[in-house]
Amino acid sequence: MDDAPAETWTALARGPVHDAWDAARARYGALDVDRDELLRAAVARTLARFERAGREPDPLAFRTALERAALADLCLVLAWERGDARAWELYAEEFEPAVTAAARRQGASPGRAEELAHELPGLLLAAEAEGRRAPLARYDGSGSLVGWLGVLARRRAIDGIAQDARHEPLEARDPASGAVGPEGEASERELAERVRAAAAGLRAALTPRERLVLLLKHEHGLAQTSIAAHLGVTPSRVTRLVQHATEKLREALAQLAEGGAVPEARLSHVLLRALGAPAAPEERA
Amino acid sequence: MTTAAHPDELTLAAWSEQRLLEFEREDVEAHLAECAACRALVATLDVAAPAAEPLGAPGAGAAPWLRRAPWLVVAATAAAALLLLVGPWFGRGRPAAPRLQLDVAGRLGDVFAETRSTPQATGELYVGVRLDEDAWVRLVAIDAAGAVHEVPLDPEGTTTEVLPGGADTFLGPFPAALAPDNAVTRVLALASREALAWSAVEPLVTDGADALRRELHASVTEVELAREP
Repeated sequence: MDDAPAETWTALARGPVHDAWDAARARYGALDVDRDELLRAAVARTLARFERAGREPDPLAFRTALERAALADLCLVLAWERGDARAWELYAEEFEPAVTAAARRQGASPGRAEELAHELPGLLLAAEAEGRRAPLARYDGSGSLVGWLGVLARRRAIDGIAQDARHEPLEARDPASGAVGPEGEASERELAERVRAAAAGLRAALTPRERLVLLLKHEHGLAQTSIAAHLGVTPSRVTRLVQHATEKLREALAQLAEGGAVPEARLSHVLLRALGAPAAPEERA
Repeated sequence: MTTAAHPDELTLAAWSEQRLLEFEREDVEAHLAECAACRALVATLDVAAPAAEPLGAPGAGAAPWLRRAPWLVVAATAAAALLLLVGPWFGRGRPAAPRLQLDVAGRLGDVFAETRSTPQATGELYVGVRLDEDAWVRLVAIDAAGAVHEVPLDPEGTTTEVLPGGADTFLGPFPAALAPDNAVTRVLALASREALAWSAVEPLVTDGADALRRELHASVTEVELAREP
């Protein structure tokens, strides 16, 4: 099935694309994009998605990707690429407020958030360096348009805040850091070494999903219902994942606490922080 | 995917909307487990709450002709089994199953199981499913010419069905006409993510339910794709 002919991909895409084209007309009004154009773009961009992932597309995964894709949004994007003025009016009407709100939630000032929302269309159309296509030309509907624009705005807002923060002295950002005596330094070094080893062991014991759930819960303070929504699983499933992960965390903590005088609460904190840091190259190997 | 190669914004949006395919999702989650910056970003994303959307009460959508079969013990996995067979289809009434708005909900999951063999289907087609939790299920048959046939799950042509978790359920019999000239080369099953794991075996020929059960039981030879702990 991996060498399915082009007609097979087109046949697989026809149903979802036709539904999406109708949905786009209902939602956005008449756009300067016909159904066959949307069909061709959906097939080509979905196949490109598999190629980017280094995967051979198979019919069922291909169809699943299309059924999940925001193809009505792809229709709007094609109209944007074509320079359809009516379609760009929709950006201002429907998307700009959401983009502004996303940047605001990420900490951008009101003025900066509005500026970001105004800048975004230009960024989407701008061809990137090294011959890459414009971001808009790479949109394949794998995520919704409003979701994509929201993440773009958030990342740019974060970048702006990070640039501002570079001018702050380190001490201002880390009030906890203070001078430690020589004995304290040796003790801290020993603890850091033990924590690193414990984190490596814990990392190996947890699945990526368990680790992610643990970190979203403890590092970012997300509720289990929010984690479930992110992962697309039921809250009870997250509860089980948290239970499994917590058991392993407890085992690691118990080993780490053996013979030491460091409070377990602090150990838990530093262990989770070490767990959230990227793995050392030798661990990844 | 390493911390050096952050997922692009569209991929992160798609992840938070649960639209990614299984292999894409696994890559993103492996990256998120490593990358504090991306984790911090996605932790602030607004997410729809698909888990809050009721899948249907246990057994919702389960038609009378769905038979529970607790005899099926798949020793290798406590999770799931997908089994296929061949036989007569229409003639049994059942209430219409609820339809899933796939394009809106995007909840129907990835390929959890598929047959690897070339079935020599000459009669009825049954599908046996074992799920840990309630899940949407959909079946697709692909014939020798590469054409894709969605397997209707009822005479009205419904193609998705909520199956109850915690038990084995049989769907069918489906029409032999589904596969012209018995030329089906693969039968694939999709399930929503709530289906924790499945197993797939060859479709079999049977002359009735008892033979079906014996053959299914004997044929659980390939267990695969237990994706989650």
